[in-house]
Amino acid sequence: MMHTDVVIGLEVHVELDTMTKLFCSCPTKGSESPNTRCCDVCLGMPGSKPVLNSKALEYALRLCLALKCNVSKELVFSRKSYFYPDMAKNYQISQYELPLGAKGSLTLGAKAVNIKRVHMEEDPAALTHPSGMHTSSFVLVDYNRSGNPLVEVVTEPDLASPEEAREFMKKLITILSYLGIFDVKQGIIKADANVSIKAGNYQRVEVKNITGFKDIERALQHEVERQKREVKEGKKIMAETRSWDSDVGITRSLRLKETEEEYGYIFDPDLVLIDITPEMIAKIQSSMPELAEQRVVRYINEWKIAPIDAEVIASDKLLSDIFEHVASHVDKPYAAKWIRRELIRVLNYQGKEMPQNPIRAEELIMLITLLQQKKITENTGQKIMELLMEGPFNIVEYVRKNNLEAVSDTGVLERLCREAIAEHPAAVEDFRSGSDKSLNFLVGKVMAKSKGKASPKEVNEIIKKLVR
Amino acid sequence: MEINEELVRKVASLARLNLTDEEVKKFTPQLKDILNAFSHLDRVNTDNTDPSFQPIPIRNNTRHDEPHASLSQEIALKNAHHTKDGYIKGPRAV
Repeated sequence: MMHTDVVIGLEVHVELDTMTKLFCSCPTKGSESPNTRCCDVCLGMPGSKPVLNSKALEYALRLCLALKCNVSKELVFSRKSYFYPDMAKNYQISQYELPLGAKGSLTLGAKAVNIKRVHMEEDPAALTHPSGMHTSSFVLVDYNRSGNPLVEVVTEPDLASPEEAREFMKKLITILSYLGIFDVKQGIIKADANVSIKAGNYQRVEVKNITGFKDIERALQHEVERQKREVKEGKKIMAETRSWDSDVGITRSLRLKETEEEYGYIFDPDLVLIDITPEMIAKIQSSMPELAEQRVVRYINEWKIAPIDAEVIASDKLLSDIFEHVASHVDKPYAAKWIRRELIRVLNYQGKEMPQNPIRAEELIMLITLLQQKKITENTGQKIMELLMEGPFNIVEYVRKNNLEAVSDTGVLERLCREAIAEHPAAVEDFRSGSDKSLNFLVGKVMAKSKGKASPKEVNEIIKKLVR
Repeated sequence: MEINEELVRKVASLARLNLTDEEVKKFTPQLKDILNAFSHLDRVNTDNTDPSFQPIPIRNNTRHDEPHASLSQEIALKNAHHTKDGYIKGPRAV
């Protein structure tokens, strides 16, 4: 394998969007009051028996297929033993020897990131350190989260930079949201990373506790810089586990962690073997939702949408869904251009992402229809888009009340242009001798006369015609 | 595998048990005896025997993704000796 200066491998934990936990019927959502969504199974009471949630298996299989994994013929769970209070049983039910999926890949542009394994496991309980993470003498345990279904995606050390790791996470989230197995608005995605650098002889350091795709680049950049600094100061990189502290923006060395051997994995005798038959896989394969790549192809080939618009829109499931709704009512390429440029612009301006987007398809259809019919100018359209960020309103009424209808009557436009030409003879002369600046000046004057309701493009053409 | 005091201390630390020196001295021969007793099993020839992970051969038992009522907080915490504001108190581990 070719070694790059930075080598990163990721273990990503994704919460599956099921109604109930992995091995019991406690709800995964609902009461936030501590220890109110627990039962004998997820509290690890003696004699309780875990039973697999079939929906969680279906979701995990969807992910295995989307990541082009070889799927195991049998589903086997193992016990990973460790003694922290976040697992009441003193072991976590996970998969070890036989993961559900293996040897897959995820395409990032021209590069294929190899997926080592995809396996299912239960989430541990949430621990609170009442007087701070590093000083508290005891922890408060809430088992509501304990037993929630997770899939863990483990990559080969194929990522060559923190930016690439972020792109990987982003792409994975897109796939998860298209598969309908992850709640983009509320679901939790966490990562542990193995980081090594050439200057440190590729000594691996594990960084744990990175939440969300925005934090991954920050955490890894920090860790790469830290390792470079150590080497520069003549220190040796130690094999260790470090914890990312997002609030402070640093990684800290953790106490020595168990080795794989010390986890003492055994097959879980409480859980029966599940056959994963070719029929099961065929059924899931045939019900796989359309993925982002397929949407891009359809947008470009069937809907004649500009490739850049198609790529950007399809890379976000929520954006793509709202676009599909809008596109069924208006001109598709035109709608794509507006949504890609303007919707994203107003969201960015307010520092929001699609999950917080307040603009509904209904308003977008109305707005884009008015624009297409040239009832309002693009300028007015942009302003309405900004206002829609505050909440929905009746756009047609707003345009009428504020007198924003575009001046599209060529007679009226010509009259305004003639007025501007008559009032600014010097600018007209300059334009005749080749000054584009003067043309823009004249267009500006006409725009002012129309109170911003004329299309600058149209005015531009009329002035050119009248002056020449 | 040799059962010595070092190993006993290591297993105890993984299990987060604080053993006194006397306890280590007391438990080391006991653990040795237990493991020796089980080592009789090593004499059985298992070359042609498949491993058995389940006592009974049930396969493919799953359940539907339908929520059922959980325990009340009061019942859930009933067996815990140390609780605070609806949480179970535990030792810090990290």
